[in-house]
Amino acid sequence: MGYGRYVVVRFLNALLVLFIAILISVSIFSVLERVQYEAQARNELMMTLRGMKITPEYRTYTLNKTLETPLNDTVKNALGIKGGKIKSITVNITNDCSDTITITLRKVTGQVYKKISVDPGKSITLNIGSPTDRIEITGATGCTIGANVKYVEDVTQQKLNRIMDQKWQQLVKKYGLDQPLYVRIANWTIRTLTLDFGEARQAYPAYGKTKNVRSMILLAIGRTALLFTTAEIIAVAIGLILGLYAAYRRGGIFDRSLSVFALTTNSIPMYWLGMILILLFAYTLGWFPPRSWEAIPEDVKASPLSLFIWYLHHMALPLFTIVFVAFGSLAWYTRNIALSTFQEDFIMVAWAKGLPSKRVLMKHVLRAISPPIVTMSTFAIVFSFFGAIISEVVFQWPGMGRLYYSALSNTDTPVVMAVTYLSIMVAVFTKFVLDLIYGFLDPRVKTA
Amino acid sequence: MYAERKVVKTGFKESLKYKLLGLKAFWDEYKRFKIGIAGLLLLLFIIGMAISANIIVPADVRTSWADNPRWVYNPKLVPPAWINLFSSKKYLTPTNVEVEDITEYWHTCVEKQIIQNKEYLQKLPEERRKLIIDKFEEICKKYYKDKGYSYIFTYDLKADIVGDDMMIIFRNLNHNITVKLDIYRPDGINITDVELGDLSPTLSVNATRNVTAGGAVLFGLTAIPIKLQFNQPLGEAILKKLVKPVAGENASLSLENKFSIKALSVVPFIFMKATPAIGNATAPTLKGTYTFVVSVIVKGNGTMTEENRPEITIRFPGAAYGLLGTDSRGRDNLYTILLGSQLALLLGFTYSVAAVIIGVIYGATSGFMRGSGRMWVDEAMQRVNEVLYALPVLPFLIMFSYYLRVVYKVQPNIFHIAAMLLIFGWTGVAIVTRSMALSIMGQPYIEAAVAVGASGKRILFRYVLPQLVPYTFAAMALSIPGAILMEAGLSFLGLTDPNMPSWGRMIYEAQNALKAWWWILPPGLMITLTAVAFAFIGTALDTIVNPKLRGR
Repeated sequence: MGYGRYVVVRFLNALLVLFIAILISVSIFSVLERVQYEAQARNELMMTLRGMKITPEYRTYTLNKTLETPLNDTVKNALGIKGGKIKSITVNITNDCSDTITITLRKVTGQVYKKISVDPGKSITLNIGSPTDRIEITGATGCTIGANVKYVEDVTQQKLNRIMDQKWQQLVKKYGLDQPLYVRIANWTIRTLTLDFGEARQAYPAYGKTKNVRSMILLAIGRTALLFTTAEIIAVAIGLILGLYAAYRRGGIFDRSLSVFALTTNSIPMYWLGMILILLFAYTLGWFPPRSWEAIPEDVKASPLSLFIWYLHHMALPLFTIVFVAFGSLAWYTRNIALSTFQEDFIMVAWAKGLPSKRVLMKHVLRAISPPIVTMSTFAIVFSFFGAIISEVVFQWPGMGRLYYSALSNTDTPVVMAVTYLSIMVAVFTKFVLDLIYGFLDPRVKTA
Repeated sequence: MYAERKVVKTGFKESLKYKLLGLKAFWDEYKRFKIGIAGLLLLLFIIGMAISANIIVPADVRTSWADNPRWVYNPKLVPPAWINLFSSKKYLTPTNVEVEDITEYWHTCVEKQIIQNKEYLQKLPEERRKLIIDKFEEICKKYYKDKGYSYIFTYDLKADIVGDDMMIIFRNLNHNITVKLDIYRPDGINITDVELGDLSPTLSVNATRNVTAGGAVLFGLTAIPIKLQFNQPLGEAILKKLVKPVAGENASLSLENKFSIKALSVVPFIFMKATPAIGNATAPTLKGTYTFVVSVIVKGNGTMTEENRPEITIRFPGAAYGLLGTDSRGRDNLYTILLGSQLALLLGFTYSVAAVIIGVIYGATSGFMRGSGRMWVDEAMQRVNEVLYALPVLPFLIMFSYYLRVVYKVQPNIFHIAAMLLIFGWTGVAIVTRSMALSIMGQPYIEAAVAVGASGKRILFRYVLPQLVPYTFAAMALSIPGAILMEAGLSFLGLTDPNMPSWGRMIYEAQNALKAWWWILPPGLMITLTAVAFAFIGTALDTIVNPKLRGR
């Protein structure tokens, strides 16, 4: 298989993976969207209900029922009424009853609170205490007794449900949730693939007045780049220098402690370190502002130098945090790549030739290790555009991470899909480029 | 039949022997990695914490941590007690003051009458004075005989910072009572006749049932605390007797506002020196012996005798507590940290074992399929893997947590989180195992096995998977830190069960009280330590399993 064909196959593969990943995310978000909106409608309703005073609403019904004798049952069952409060029963004894009948009303405990005898042809009204009371009719068998039931139902809940339904229908209409799931999924997939994200469903004051998803994301990427990409570049630079130094002095104290350091810094939760630094340097010592993103004062805007200092002052804590957490593992990675190069034959030859060590390092080693290191740095920087959801929340930095998080918690599907699409895209593209590089470097990969 | 069984048995014994030998060799190899030993020690420490949690943390806290009623008796948001070793100002630690003397209330009544009318009485001749005092006695007896008792407490205050609360705890209360408090300060300014409020024994059963349930351990089942922190009558009395004379009307008014909106606790004022600085609550603490007289008087009918009078304890929750202080709800941070270690280990092990088993089986199958010529199966499996790898993990976890909470009304607990992490967690292991399996499939002995006629199942389970076992241990250890950090992240965003005492939740709750270093430092340190322990162990194992990684 030639390299050209390999590239084409890998590219098609990347497209396929991209498509499936988007389809999966769209499906999940479409299902969750509906669920979340329902919850949102309910929440909004609760808020409005808290504001207004709902007076309980009752409705009185009269129903005609017939009772069969003899009877011994709860009032509820005997009349077949489920909800509501039964107030009274007016009983009409028809003339086909041969005998006087006795009606007994008992509490659940068995205590009799009404016992009355009625002659045929008469009618009588009984007040009922509770629908779970027992009613007993004895005396005559096989004659029908007409019962006029008056009962009251609390319809407050129905009223609430009606308001809830209206709210829900509004949302359904607004966001096109009335279409079947597969239609929504298809719509969203097409919109995502054609980059047609349109307007956000909600305003995000931290990202300007516009609701246009594309311009919001551009703004957010810019801010995230300002913080995270700067930090990543610093971390890569430090990591490169320290990693090369560790490889050069392999086995030394510095080299050995580097792995411990890298593993340790890699384990620190970035947001926690940020909080500790804010506690120490912002609140206790007061050297830096606790909020990293603030409105820039007018007099600072005037000169570029003061603006630069202002930014440096505000970004110092988050910058330090990110660099501190990241540079250790970058250095460790550089060291491992460099170490494997030091063992290569051509370096050995260079040493053996008696070249000065500076020349060996600069000319041979650096040139040999630069491709993987450039790859590593590029990926580190590309991924830094997405920031970190949690750290941006801690530093109150309105970049991609916070936009993603706010959109997720507000079920703002256009924004969520746009950011998800971008991040899937970058992941797939990374994999694609890695495949190409490995295929180029190691011909065996192509056939495997 | 018999012979066959015997052969199996010896075979088992033999293999066990070899396995033990292998284990010994492995340990000898592992011992050479200082990093691995350090990781192991750290892990032992954390496991020790998790075990000791079951001994140190009381059972009722283990079952209900978030709203345990015992926190009522703790101070809120105070530093650890050992701060006294480093601070020039001494913080009061939780102190219970037991009753020193009990008299019948009518005695106190007489004494108070005498003190109130001191000047008038002094002017009178001896006999007339005695007559009046007798009259006082008669009246006090008439109203208060068998109606109440006075409990006298003395407390020698040595600390500089008293803390925001002081509580009077009643046990075995049988009457509806009115509670009065007299405070005699060392400087002679006395705050007397403060009617703290009414108390009824049904309060302990109904209104504050949750208070009594947890108080069971500390003060018995029937305990009812009166908290003086925001007690309005006490605040008024302090302002009148203590603040107004030295700090003036305006300061007193502004303090009164703060008391009434519960922005400021009244308790520290009881113990402040009467200087003008008391007006802005900055006066130093007045040390010395304080006497508190708590009087209980029966309301309405009924008599109080020595048999049925309540027991009273005064408790100062204090301004410093335990080893790691408390959080804003009075919860002991030490308990939370210990319980958190259990959760972290539980999550780490559950998740990593499941993720690695799934990943190894998936990867091995995938590699085996390609190695045995069924390429399309491998290709399909790889696509699944790549798709999962491409999806952003944290946003999906956030969505799943929302879903659990909204649809199933479930707050995600540790197992939900493990399951959610598992959806994405196994792919990394699968990628590595697949390439390992692929290279194993190229070995001559596999070819030999195929030639002999071994089935595919046999090749996969007897030849391929056992070779991957050493790698699985390294992979397990290496996958745990990610899981612990991810759980902490989810908890930090407030998306997990609020009743779950996890370290991440601690950080989440502490972020609004950033100044409480004793609350925010320990959980992050523990997360780092645990993640580091597993990362160290995993790196050491990985280096043994993949010798290529070893630096010279």
